[in-house]
Amino acid sequence: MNAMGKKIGADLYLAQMKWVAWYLPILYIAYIAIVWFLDEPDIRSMSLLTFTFQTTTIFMLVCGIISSSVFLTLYVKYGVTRKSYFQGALLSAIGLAITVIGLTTILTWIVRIFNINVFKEVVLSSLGVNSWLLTSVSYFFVVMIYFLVGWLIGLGFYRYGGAGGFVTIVVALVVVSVNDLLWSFNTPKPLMGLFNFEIPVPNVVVAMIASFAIATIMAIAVYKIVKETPIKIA
Amino acid sequence: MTRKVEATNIRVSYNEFEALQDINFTLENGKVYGLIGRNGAGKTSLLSVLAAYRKATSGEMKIDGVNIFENEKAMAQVTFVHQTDYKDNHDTITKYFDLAERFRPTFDRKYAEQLVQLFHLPTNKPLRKLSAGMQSAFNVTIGLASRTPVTIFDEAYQGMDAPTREIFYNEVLEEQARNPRIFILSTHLISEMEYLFDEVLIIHQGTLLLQEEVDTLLERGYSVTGPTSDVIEVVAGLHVLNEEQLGGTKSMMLYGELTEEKADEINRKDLEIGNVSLHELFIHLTKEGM
Repeated sequence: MNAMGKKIGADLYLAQMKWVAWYLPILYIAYIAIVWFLDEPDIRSMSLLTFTFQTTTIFMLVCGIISSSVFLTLYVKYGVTRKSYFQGALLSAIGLAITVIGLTTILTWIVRIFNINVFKEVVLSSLGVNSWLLTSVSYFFVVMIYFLVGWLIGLGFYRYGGAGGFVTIVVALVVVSVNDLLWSFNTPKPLMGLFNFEIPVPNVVVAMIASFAIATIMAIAVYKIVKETPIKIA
Repeated sequence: MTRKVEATNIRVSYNEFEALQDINFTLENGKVYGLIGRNGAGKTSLLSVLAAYRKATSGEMKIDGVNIFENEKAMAQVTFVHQTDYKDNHDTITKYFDLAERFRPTFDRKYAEQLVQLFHLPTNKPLRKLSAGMQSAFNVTIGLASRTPVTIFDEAYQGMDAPTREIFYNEVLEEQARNPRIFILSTHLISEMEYLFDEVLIIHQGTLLLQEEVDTLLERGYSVTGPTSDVIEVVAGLHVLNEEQLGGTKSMMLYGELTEEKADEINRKDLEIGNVSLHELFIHLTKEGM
């Protein structure tokens, strides 16, 4: 990681945290309102962390999709290499995922301590009632994978146009679906609902290693595409 | 340290289309280069390679001996000012000055603020609300105040009114006196900007037609006017760019060195030797099929 990569990482983290500063409070209020007013057992048992995680997958996907068209162009224009942009954007996404998941884990834990009646039926995650570290780490991996596939799609369209962009969408669909098979978190995976495809949920360690491998492969794919991407003049 | 930009056998192709072929040139510090070429000649492709916006399909673009593409130090030395779409941009000029200050070590904020006053630009309005001319003036402000050793303006004047363009041209000259660097001005306004150029590069159909000092280039172009038969006789074997006929009088535009013997011959026949402008030379040098 070079100095410029870190500098861009810090800048992008702050820029995207401005969006988080809107997104998270709204989400928390929505969660409280839903649990309070809806008498759905599925929802009443969902923890704040799991609820936030589910929507954060899409939030990170969008951050990934717009990254290239907004930030890559800007930084190259100001004399920054694609490599430094890549490092910075990846670093900022890691920071973003840690902040959102970390902050929400702490809040969820506080809610648990206060033992509020409305949240009595809440279960932390499908990984267990008290799996704080495991749940937050696995959620971190999953939202990172959503960011990376978003990044791939955004870059696919930026560099290759419509046809190439479509290929990256297909790759993204496969990746998020395979990843959800590993975890069974029921994360958003359009189209896959059409197929009745089930495998036994693997061991958590296997899922963790496989997710890490998927994330690494995606990051390498993004880097391979970004490192020679021509900048658009518009 | 001498700043030098060297292009060696630059070729750029988009799928089947060859945008640039075998481009070679050297640019030196302290000179203003005019880059001219017809629409689609490859000017922006060439500048994109120079600014590391794209990698050349083959060949090398170096600054002080270092390949520019993806080199942190080299890329930091080039500013590329081009038309930018700000229609969805909510940021203000001040915000862009912050960005330039953070990423361009040579950016002079004081000077940028002086330019903002000169161009009458509002610093607190989002860029999308500025007129096209003001957006161009803002782009030019960033280019001038970044003070990078290589500064490129690609038709940066678009939408600017005549007085604003005049301010821009003046600032280029004054900056060149204060902080000499390599300026590259890509333009279609040849007559208007000619006086700024030290050297001219003409690109035609993806190739570099010529790189020449403006004075030398202007010396190479001249016209001979007089009775048709005399003119035809005297230009035999010369490179004729254009000819015009009015009654029995013919005027021919020629390109090449005017030797003393030839000048004597023209004078003996009592024909008139005239100057040709860069604008006219450009038009006829890049005529279809030339």
